[in-house]
Amino acid sequence: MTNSQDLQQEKLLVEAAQKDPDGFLELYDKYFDQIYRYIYRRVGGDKDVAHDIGSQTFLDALENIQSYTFQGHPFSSWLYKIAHNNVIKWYRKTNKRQHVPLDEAYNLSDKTQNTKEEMEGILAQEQISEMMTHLDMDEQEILRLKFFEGLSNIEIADIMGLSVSNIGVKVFRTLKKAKGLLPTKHDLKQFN
Amino acid sequence: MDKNYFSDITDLFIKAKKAEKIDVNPHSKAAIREMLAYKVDEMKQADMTPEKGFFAKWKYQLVGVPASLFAVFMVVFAFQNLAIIMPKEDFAPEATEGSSMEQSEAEINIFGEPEIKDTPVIEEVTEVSSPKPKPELLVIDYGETVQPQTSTTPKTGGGYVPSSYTQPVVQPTETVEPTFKPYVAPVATPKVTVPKVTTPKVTSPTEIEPEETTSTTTPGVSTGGAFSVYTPTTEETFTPPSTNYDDSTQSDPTFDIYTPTSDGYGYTLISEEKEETGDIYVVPVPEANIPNLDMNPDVVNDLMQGNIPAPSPGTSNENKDQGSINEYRDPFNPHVQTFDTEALNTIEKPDTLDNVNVHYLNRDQAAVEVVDDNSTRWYMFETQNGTWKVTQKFD
Repeated sequence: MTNSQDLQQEKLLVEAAQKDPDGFLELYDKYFDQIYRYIYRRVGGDKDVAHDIGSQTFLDALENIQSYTFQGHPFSSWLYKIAHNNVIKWYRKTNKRQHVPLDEAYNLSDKTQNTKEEMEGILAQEQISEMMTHLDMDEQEILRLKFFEGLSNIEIADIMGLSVSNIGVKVFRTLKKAKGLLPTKHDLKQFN
Repeated sequence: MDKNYFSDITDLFIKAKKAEKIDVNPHSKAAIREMLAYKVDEMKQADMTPEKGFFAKWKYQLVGVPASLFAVFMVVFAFQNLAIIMPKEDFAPEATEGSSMEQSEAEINIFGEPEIKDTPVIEEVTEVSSPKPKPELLVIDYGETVQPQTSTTPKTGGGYVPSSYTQPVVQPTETVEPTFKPYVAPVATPKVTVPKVTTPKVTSPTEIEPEETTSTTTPGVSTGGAFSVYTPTTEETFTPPSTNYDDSTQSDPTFDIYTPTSDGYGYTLISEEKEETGDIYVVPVPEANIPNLDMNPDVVNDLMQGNIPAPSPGTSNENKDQGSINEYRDPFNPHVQTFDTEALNTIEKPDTLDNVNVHYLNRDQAAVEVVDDNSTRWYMFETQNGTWKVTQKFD
């Protein structure tokens, strides 16, 4: 199934949901996990908060599905945008800093019982968590949407309300900044 | 820039994502789905409901909004018209001036005819500026009777004038005692026999009681009473009831006015103007209509020249051959001293004396007209201490 076919199928689902609210449940089943994980990462691994924000996100989507117009982007982009706004509201409401603890954000497992691949993944998560602390909110969000959610620059631009070119520039600068924050191979050899 | 310049970063994120273990709680997902299903049912239920028509949708607003506005306006207007009449600071609730009780007293006429008091106070009923009280209005009234009509009806005696007095009447403010100085006898001529000798014999005129004059219906204006107006008949001679007159009664408010019959003197004592309504109002006689022969030589000249017609003499002559002395008394001053015949001795009288007419101008003056065959002469007599003397002579 090509990307265009996915978009066409997604468009049909959205149109069905706009005609019959029952069709929205199918969209919910399709995108809930993806949106839930995104929220879960954003709120620092708090399941209850992720549950509340996730339910509010899909409820908002249900109530406003009639206003959604298909513009060639995946429907998930619209859901990400709603979730992104709700997370920001939650941070503003709770007056918390968007600092995500490493173990909570990425649900690190016990290192002793993991394989070498898992250990490398856990090590990568630690490095990313350390790197994220040196980035601002927009840079964190760009990297998160870019690499964890796998969204394109167009989708990221739609979510963050910026232009696509601006997002491209921001992605390049953020990666360059992150690269400078990562330890070099010489450092890793010394560490090992 | 190397193609794989950010490969280490991307590899790092890929490794981290693979190692990520975020389990979605199925109960949480189911709970959210159930919530969304319930919401979907509500939305479908709302969509299943037939769409109401415009009137069914807005009927309460269409009816309720005008009704609410009407209620608000009613309340506003009700409070706007709520006039609270507060008494003045010096207002005494027990004050009875102008009350209905006094009005009833004022309507009592002890003389049997409409009475208007001597000093009628024309009070202008103040117009009630406040709106006419309505039943729903709160009016604090301490018993003051206020006529709501706007009128300038004169208010006499503190009472309200009956409704028949629809037109204000200018009432005399005071009763002026008429002072009719001159007197020219109307018709009656006392019969005086004047002998041709130099000493005429004057006989007192036969007193003829005036007929009972019919009192006009004109009400008099008096202080505490009405005066009567007597109109003498066409009797040639009459004598005012001088014997019954007493100076001491000058202060008496009741006095009689004798009006001689119209003989061209041109003055009228009583104006008999009558209103269409039948009410009779007395208009005081202007003094200008009363010829003042006392100190006005022109009038005397007119009298001498016959411009003022004199009464026809001779009716009371006792001896026409001897001529006659006609004595005209002022009916309004019947107490004037009689012009005695001795006074006539002081003037020159021709032998062919026809008539001697004595015109009493006032108590102390008399104009004597001596008529002979060819001419008429006038003498002005004045009396002092009962003695008549000639003061002027007019040929």
